[in-house]
Amino acid sequence: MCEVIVVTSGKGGVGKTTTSANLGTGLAMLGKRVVLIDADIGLRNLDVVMGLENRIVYNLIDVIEGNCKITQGLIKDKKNPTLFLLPAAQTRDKDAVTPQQMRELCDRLRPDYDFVIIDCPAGIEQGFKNAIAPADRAIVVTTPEVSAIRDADRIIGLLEANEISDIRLIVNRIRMDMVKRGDMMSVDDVLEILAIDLIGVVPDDENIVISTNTGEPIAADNTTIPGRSYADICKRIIGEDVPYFDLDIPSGIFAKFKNFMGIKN
Amino acid sequence: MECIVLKGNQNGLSIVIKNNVDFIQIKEDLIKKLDAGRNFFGKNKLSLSFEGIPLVETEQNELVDLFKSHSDLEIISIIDPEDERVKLRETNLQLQQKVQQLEDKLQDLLSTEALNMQVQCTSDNEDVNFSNNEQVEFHYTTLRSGQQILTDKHVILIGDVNNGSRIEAGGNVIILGKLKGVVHAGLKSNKASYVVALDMKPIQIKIKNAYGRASDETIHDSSSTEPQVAYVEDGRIVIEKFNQKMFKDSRFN
Repeated sequence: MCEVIVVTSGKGGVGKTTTSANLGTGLAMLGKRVVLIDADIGLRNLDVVMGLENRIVYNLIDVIEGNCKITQGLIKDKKNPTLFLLPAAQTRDKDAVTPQQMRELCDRLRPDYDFVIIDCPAGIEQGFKNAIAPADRAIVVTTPEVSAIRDADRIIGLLEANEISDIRLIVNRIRMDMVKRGDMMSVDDVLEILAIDLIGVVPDDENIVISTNTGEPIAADNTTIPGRSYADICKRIIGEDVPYFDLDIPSGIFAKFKNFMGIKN
Repeated sequence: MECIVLKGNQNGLSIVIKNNVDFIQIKEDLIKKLDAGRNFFGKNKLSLSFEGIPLVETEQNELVDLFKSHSDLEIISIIDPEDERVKLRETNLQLQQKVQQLEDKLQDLLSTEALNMQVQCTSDNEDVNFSNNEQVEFHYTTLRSGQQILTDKHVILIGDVNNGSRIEAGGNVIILGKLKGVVHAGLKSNKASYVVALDMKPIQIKIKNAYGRASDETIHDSSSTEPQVAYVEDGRIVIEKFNQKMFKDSRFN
């Protein structure tokens, strides 16, 4: 049974694309057959983050318009043979696709794959409407900041209005040192406002910046803290009840040393 | 052979002359019937009417005399049944007209005092203090950013009002949850309006024309408070701890 999951946020820059890339990688590492769809037509990024930009021949619009077969449009991942990317078009914009076309595309994919993960563009306009149309469930990504949370609340309202009831939250880029000082909202503060179920917490980590630039999703390495966070989220997606490990990073030279080396506490 | 039938009706007794027979035979038949039913008829005062084959007045009088001699009945009057029928019809029409008038009047009353009458009928066992034409909308949902409730009625919401959502109500607003968005109450009310919330942290609040906004400090205050009520005093919004006593004031209820 295929599940179509849309990764959305409302606000731009909170980590939808990074999350989509890492969830796809993590699920493929668990042996699942996964298709990643970049629904951000005109501002495509998922191909860069996956390190597959030089392999693009056909894109989402080509498949929808029938210029090529689906199998020609899908790009196999460099490292995971069960992970595929359907990139967005860069020369068109979001009005080039309709929600109905997105639904039909996903219906064509459902028989052959376990998960279809749709990377939703920022905003609430046509791009958003296209991306959520085929979704069975949603993952909302937010950072623990008031502006991001406001947009996430709006998005949740719109998802509920579109009859998507399975909505889970990822709190991204959290900095426990700032939370301790009272300079940043805690996960509980965020949950109190948004009132949906949590599916994961990913700390802010400079390794992620490196991984998106080099096109190697960090989920491939679960000795890093964010890598482990994403791996846990993938297990929760397939239904495993994984407890949240303690993100509490104690300050001190030893801990700083460990962080630099990327060794988990 | 039966040539007459005696019928009882609301006026008294009716003699129905059936066949075109001899008047002598009619008399004989009546005598027979009266004798046979003397005990049955007893001592009573009756009106008499004639139906069927018409008789002349002298014949009618003869038959009336027979009542005197062969029964204990006293005939007090002779009624023309046709007359009676016409009268009945007239009365019927009059009654119908009267019924129609009453119905029209009832309709008028109902349309002007509709709610009042209905409420009084249904609240036999409840002592509910509903004023005229006041209605309440219930909502069982959290208002997320971008959602709104716009209404002329009072609002009771069981849920939260998130920042970025709004309620505009004609009457009072009671929020059994957090108020972090915008509420505008009392848009259509003649009385003083109020807003109640379990966690009163509105970003802006308006009651009729009085307006208040959260101070810059309280916006980021995430501590929980007790239930509070907001109302207007001296043209300004006052927020204080919720207490039942203030609502006894006649300007609210």
